[in-house]
Amino acid sequence: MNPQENITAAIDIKELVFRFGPGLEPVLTIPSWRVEAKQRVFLQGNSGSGKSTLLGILAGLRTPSSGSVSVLDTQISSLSGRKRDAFRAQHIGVVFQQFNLIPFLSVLDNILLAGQFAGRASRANKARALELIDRVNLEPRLAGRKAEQLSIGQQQRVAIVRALFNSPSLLLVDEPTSALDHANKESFLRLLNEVLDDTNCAMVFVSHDPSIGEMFEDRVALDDLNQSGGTH
Amino acid sequence: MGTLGALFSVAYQSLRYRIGGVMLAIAAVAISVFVLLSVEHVRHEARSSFASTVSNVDLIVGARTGEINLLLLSIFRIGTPTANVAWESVEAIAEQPNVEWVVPISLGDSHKNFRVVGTTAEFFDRYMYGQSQPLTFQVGQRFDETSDVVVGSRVAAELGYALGDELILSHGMADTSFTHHDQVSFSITGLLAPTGTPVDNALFVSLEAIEAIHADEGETESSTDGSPGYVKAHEEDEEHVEHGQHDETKHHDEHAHHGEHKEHEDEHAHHDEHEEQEHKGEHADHDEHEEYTHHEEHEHEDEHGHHDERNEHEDEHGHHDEHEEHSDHHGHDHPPLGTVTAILVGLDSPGVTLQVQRRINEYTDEALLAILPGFTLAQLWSLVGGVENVLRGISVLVFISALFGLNAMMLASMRERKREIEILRSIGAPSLFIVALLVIESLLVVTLGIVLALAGLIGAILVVNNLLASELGIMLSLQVLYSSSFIALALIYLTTLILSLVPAWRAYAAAHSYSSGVEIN
Repeated sequence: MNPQENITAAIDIKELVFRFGPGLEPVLTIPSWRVEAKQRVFLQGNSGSGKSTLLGILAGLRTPSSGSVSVLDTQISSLSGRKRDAFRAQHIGVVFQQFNLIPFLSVLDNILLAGQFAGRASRANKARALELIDRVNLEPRLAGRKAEQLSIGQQQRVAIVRALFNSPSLLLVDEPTSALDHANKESFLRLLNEVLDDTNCAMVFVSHDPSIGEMFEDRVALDDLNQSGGTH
Repeated sequence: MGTLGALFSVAYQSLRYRIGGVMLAIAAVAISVFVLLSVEHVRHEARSSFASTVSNVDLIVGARTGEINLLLLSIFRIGTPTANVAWESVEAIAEQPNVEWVVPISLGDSHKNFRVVGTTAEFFDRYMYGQSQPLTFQVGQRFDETSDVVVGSRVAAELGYALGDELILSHGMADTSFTHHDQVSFSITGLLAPTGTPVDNALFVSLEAIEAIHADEGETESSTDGSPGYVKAHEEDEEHVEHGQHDETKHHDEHAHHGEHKEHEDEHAHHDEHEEQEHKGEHADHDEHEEYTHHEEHEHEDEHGHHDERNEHEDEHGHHDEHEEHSDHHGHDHPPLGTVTAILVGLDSPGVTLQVQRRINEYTDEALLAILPGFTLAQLWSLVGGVENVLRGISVLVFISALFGLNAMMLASMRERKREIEILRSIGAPSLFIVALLVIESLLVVTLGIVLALAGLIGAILVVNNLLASELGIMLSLQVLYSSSFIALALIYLTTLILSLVPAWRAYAAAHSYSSGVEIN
């Protein structure tokens, strides 16, 4: 199992059903959805459409009620909890809309902690972290700052660094720009795409905002995928 | 950093981030552990200082009363002597095999509410406390003459006595004794160093001095009704001789039947009168009457006949209280001349203690009771043990409330922590890491609290010792951890572990419901 090489699909969903509890109406019913390796997909979904739930399933933080979810050619729902954690740490990067960093840890520690869970050797990590910090146009002196001392825009850029630090094969991004103003939004998206160009990483970018989708070649609306109707 | 290093590093930084609440939690734990440990410490110190009130004394012998009564009377000087030991018995015990030394003690007199102890000069060599610490003199030396008195440290401190001061010893217990008189004055030849034992609260004079106080008293009292005390003393002596004959002839018989009044009546004619008076009143009156009669008129008889009778009454009717009550009223509790209240006995080998004790208890000439001080001290301690359990209960409650406080703080912080936990989960932190993080944070808080409590306790002991050493001659041990404390501390950790698993479990559950913080939109 080495998803880094020769991945056939970043995501391959078949007959996914997810409900929050037994007997409840399913929130998600996705007969089929596939994201190729290195593909960048914009997933448009309104608030409450179940997009965060879908991301949770893709990240292995939730398990589907039924169906098969293959992430990087791995049946993620069949892994044990511990293996899912390790899989996530090594192969999946996650960026949330706002709260991405542990507020009391320094920027550097936030990044290195992600490396820690991926089981990476630590000596080279610091240099790599500083390199990536520079890559997202943050001043090196910010590395030692507590995360909470940074602006939201700065925090989101650190979040990209952290998400990509372990060289994941899949990046899951959930409304990362919703807390940013228009100028920051654009520069953030540009930066994200630039950084991804250096990697072989696939991306699922989730937003309610269709205007962002214009920057993506591949776009899909969750409502089209999800036959549950997104009443959640 | 390894995963473990990361764990501690994150826990540490997390605690620093919440420093305000964490400090409060640490303070709460520290205070409750401090209370818990100080109660334990005081309990142990009290017990050990109690147990070391007297050492080096193998047996304490007195007239047959309760074991604890005898201990209270002879060592703590609580209560009043209700029966005495004849001088002949003192000599007989001294001659017993294995008996190395005997130190008689005569109680019953007081000086300004401090007890006066009549004893021999050997007392200062033989009486020890703590871990076989001998009595030492702050200044001066033991008594030599009849008019010499040695005072305990608290007596000297409270009454402002110095070496060479003259003082008057009153007859009886009460401060305002009717028989108070100024004729017998003593001069202080020695001040004892503080011991933290009842020795500090006593004055020590020779047995001859006790006799002198009472002989003198007889003189002054009898002078009021015209007959000189000396004459009376002679009369008593005659009676004494008479009883001496009884001793030789009928004593064994008499003792074989103690418990039966008739026996006594037959043997001693003058008892009839005595008994009659006694039976007119209630039994309580008997004691009063007896005390009075004995001490004022028939002091020497006491040692021969009345002991048994008195003991019977105690045994049969449990009149201890009445004894003491009446004694206090009258303030005439000293042993009759020629008798002592108790005998401290030292043996040449500890292995024979029980053997000698049995021999003394079976002594036929007089009903005697020999007790092992250590054993009886332990018995006495078990009587007051209820108080320590109450103290313990309180400190445990204080501690439980602190633990709940700690846990409440952890739960309250869970709201903000929920987000941190989601972040940790999203970057692949195992559930175990998150649970361990919360548990370690709780344990760190408790550990800091305990360290703080220990430091505070040792600091407090050092401060208190400065005061205690000069005032009371007591030093609290700096050894503040006992096996019971370790059990308590282990329980503290265990409960903390269990209680912190509650928020940790909630965090774990939260980590499995990937919702809020992301779905806030």
